[in-house]
Amino acid sequence: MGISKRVPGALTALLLLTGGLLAPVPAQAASIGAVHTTAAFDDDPEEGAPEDGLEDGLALDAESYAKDFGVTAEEARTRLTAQSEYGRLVEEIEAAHPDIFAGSTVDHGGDFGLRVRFTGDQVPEKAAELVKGAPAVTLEAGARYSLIEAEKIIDSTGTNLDTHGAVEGVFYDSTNEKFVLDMVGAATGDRSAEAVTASLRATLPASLPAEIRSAEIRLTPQSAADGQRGGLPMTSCTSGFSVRNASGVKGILTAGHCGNSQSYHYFGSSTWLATTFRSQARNATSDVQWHTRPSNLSYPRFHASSTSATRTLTGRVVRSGQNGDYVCHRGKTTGYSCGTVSTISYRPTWSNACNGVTCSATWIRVSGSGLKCYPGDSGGPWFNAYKAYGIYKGQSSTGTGTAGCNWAVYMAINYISNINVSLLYG
Amino acid sequence: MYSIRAAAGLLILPLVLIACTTGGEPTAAAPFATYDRSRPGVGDAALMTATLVMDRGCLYADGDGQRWLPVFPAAATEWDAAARTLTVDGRTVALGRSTELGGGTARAEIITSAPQGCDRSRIWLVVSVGT
Repeated sequence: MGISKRVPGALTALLLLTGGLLAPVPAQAASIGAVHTTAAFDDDPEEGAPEDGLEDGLALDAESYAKDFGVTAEEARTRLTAQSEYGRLVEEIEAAHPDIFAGSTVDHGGDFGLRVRFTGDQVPEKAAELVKGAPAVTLEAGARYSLIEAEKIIDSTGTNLDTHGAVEGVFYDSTNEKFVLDMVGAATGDRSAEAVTASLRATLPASLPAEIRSAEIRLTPQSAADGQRGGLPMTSCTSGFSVRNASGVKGILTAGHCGNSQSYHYFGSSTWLATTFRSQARNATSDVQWHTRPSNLSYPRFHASSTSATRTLTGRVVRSGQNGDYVCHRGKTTGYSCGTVSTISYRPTWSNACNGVTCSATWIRVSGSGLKCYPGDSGGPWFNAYKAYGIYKGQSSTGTGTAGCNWAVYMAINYISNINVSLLYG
Repeated sequence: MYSIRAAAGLLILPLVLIACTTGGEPTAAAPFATYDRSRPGVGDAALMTATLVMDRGCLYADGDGQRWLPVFPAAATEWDAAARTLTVDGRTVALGRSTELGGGTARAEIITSAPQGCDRSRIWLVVSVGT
């Protein structure tokens, strides 16, 4: 699908209001450069009556989106169609300008659109060329850190945060240009949130970089209770997406920490089908493995909101294009639910998060009022409509409902290259 | 004073006898492996349905047709030798009963303490118990 096409609904209105495409203009000296585009995409070719046994993934995710953001179903559908194109666009922009690319995000507020940022004082011409014709895209110069620089700062913390005890994760919020620490603590009695934050900050090792010691601290309340297709229930996890290797062998993904002995069953069936473990990657960026069946039958489909109908996978969005996206997942414990990507540079620091090595700041963190997350969901698919986003890894959760889910973490789908497989598309 | 000591001895003796005759496993030390957890509910999200069993002084989890050494959060796990129950984050599981262990596979290096001689060939790091 091209990017200089028609867009329905709100984005068409936006086009009319703004009067068409603005040419890329270098910023004035000492000011932030900005380029905003307002052309349109084509209708999604996947639209139309779904086949028997297939669900209308875009419509169902749009239904969830409409509830979360208070827009009409039509507007939600239009936005998710645009979001689907943004992912590929950001991938191309990052590839063209890796050293100055400072991240992107999708704004789901009143001014829906994609914002891409760069370091330096002007928007690169190549990026401006790439977004010509794309709807509601803003390019901005003047970012403080490139994504690579921010991730290097996080990586420089070594194991200091892993052994801290109260730090659950660290990431760079490129939208607000802040480093953020997820820390455990709650205001109770006469202790205000400010007092709790101050006391936690005082525990950070002096050896940490200044950017991390001064990071924003987000408190996660301590819980009083603590106490051959995607989306199928597996022995200890959930199946991800269907894949194939270079030899044409087909199988299914799940998470690496699930254990190598896995069977799965279809919904409504009590027959467990044994699989053969093929290979896995458990390291700083990856937590994924794949399994096969003797029949070598795999379908490019996955269960999303339904246990009877499936969706056909038609594409993927790589890590760099996911920030701010509205994404959904299916897990064997919590079923189907959705949230918004809060960062694509999350570094989990929980016990054994990366199997004995320090995690990279490359994981995806999702939160939202409608999100559900709990053990058993690992390995399951993260997606939007018909595009793959990642494989479920872990979470902060005290229960299986929306109230229990603080946030979830997944591995971006592009890291399946570490086990030498690629996605099956329909 | 003498009578107080004697009374205390009468109270302690039965407890020692119970501890030494419960299932044959040692109870002076915790019979389970532990690790230092950052906080409850945070971690990897696999889920194993398993039965806790005691074998030669080590607590194992039989699940998925395999025997695993479950590693529990040190500060949040207690073993009741008399009742033969394990309590994790306030949730109690009885030996021989099926339970669900949230978490995932791990390397043996994560273990901070374990009874001597436990089989460490398959490690299951327990993040949460039950659903």
